[in-house]
Amino acid sequence: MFFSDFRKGLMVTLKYLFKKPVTENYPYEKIKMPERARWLHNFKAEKCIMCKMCVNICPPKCITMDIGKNAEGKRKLNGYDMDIDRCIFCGFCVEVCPTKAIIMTDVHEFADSNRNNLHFNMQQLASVGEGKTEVEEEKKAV
Amino acid sequence: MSIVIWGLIKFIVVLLLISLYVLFMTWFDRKVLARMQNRVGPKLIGFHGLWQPLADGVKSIWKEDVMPGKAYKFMFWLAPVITITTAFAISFVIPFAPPVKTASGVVFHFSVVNLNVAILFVFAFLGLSSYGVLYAGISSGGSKYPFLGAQREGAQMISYEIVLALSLLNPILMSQSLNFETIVAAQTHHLWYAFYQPVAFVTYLIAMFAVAGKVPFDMPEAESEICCGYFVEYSGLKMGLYPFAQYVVVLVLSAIMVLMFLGGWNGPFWDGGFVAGFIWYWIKVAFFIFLFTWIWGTLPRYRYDQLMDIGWKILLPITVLNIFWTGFALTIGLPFF
Amino acid sequence: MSSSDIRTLELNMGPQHPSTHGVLRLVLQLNGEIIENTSPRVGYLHRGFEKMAENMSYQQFTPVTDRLSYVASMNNNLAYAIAVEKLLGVEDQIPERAQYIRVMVAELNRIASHLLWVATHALDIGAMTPYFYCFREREMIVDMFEEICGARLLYNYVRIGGVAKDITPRFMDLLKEFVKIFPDRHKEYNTLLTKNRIWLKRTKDVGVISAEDAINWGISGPALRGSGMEWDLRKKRPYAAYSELDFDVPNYPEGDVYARYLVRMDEMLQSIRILEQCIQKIPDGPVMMDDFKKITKPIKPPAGESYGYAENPTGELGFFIVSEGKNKPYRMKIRAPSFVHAYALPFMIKGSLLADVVAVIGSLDLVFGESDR
Repeated sequence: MFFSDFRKGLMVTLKYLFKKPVTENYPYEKIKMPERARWLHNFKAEKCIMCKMCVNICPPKCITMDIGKNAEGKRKLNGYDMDIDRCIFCGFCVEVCPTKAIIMTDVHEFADSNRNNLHFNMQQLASVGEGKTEVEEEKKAV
Repeated sequence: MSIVIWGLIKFIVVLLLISLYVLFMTWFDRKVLARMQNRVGPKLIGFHGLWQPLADGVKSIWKEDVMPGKAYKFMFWLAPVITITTAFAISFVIPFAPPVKTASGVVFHFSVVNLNVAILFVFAFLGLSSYGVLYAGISSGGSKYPFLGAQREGAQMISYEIVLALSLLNPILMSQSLNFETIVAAQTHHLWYAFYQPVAFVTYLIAMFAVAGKVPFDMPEAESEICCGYFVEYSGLKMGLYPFAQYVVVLVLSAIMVLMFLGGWNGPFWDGGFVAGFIWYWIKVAFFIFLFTWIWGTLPRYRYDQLMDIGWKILLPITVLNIFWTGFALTIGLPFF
Repeated sequence: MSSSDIRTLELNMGPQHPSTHGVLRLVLQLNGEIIENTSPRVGYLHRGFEKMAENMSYQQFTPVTDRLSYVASMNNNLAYAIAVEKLLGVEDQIPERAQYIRVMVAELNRIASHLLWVATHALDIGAMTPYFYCFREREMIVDMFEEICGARLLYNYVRIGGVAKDITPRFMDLLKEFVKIFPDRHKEYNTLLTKNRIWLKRTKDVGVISAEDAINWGISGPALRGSGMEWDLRKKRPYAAYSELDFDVPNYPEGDVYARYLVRMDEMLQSIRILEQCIQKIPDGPVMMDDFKKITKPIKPPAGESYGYAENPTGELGFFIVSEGKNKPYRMKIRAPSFVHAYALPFMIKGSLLADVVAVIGSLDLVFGESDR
């Protein structure tokens, strides 16, 4: 009677008018990522055994591995490129890696207006999440 | 001569005040809606985002003004101009504060013109304002969404201005005047007209939302159905003029509501004096402006045919019967009338 | 003007219309605002998933299924995993804990998907605020998923043979909190929508489809239950751990938009009931079959075919896989409910008004990642 449905609805919205917002103040306050966050990759060349498992499992085929020979005739990793533009962040490369040479960090702010800047080579991948990666690595190795 | 000068001064002051009000109102709308929805709303530019409307205004001025190739150029330009002009025209007859008697005995009115037929003037220009929307719809070069929006607006304005006018007829009959200040004065001596005319009060309230084109009756610009309706093809400052005019209409309709039904600048207590009157008046107007936002944040939208049903099948018979009742009560002189 | 000069207005609704939920394009023939004829055009989001499946190993395809109905990735993963497990004949050997985790994430994602649906459906009908309230609760679910699998939208969590990783204690805490507060929040949506007279006017007797027609059109899921059919794959053909859980299948006989709305609203509460039971019953143990722990180890199912299905928030999602005994499927057919529903749309909106189109599109919960594949 007397628009009781409207009145009840209006009271709900009025109640929230005086409550604190639930939104995050994002770009000014960073969000804490959970431990398992699947974001930009970190690659440690010295750990890589060149098994090419990550290259084979990658569904969009965004990893390219360049294996050459050094002076002694042994296999040597010349390059390890990731086309982050194509990466779907499924985490398969991290799961298959037998030596944990590739891990995922919580670095998630890498948007760029130039597509070419999303091609990460070995050196760039090694420096991703600098300062945090060691800790992350320890955690994930356990 | 002094009348003309005073008129010009008042005209400019009201123009500036209304513009300022609209700017503040967009901020208020967004902030209140945001808080109702657990958000923060504008917060970056100025204190709690208070300068956001200015930034928006500057942005809309510098935006590229796109016009459809097939548009009727003159009408396409004319449409927002009509909308904004008529909206401002209505606001010129609204008193912004109680009249003051100066030392020399002359009454100073806080409206640009203190018309004796103010209400008729309001209706005339409300009727004209729908032309802005209709022109926008048909001049958009055969674009179909604006066309549908304009159709809806035309039908909605016709059906709801009748209801609006018929509900206002009751206070007019009771006060025997078409001047806002006289009607307010008539309510000073006894109860406000909302208590005599609860039915007219409610019908006016409903029709008010329909005429302003606000939720739950925002069919002409239903963004989820016809993608903002009549001003789809507009961009930049021209598009900005439509919400601008809508905010002015919201203010005017709220003010009329307060003047006609809620005793204008009379308060339930602490009566008399200019300051008290001014505060009471604006508290009441602000409540209705807030009500527009509040309902916007709460209710869904009616369907177009349901809107017509409510207008013609429910509200119109009720208002007509109410007028008969008012006339009957006035003729035989019922004690409360 | 003779009557032959009167033509209908052809209106292109979409693919960039705010309420076609993605990229549906409807070519409407309007008589005033009354719909005379409709032809839906789908395929604007076609990515060739069925062909992609033929060139990928079985495990590699799991993250691709995330992209079907991107609001219910867990359910897609689950349906795909079931299909492959059936092909391998290992569906009875999945660890018990994994089955319970599957049910939990599937039900959570069902709530998330329904919340998103209520939000957008309400927005289509003009109510703005429920949108933000629903997203507030959906955010809690997404946070839970981020805790267990690291992603917020495309989870890649339910794998062939179990689930990717065990759930964490923090996930359980978040889940318990969510289960506690959600029924109150659900009441708020009810206050804003269910009993609102405008909502009733907009949704009742709109887009009516009888149970018989619904079956003939192939409609499934909540849209079918909104026509009075008590058909739920979780109940009728139990998979995962559903056979051990107690829940009702809400159904309403009216077959209109409002009935479908009520079905989904009730389903959210039933999902909460299932989650409460899961919290009590979940056993300890492994979460993945030993054979499938290494995703690089190729799966070579015997030659044959299988049909795996799951009750998704949108309807019945099915994967029909034909194997030739190699590590890649010979053919994979995806039965996407949204695709079927999109083609029942013209039947349901014929003769109604333009504003009803958005209500009916909303009530069918069309997701075009799934429809266009």
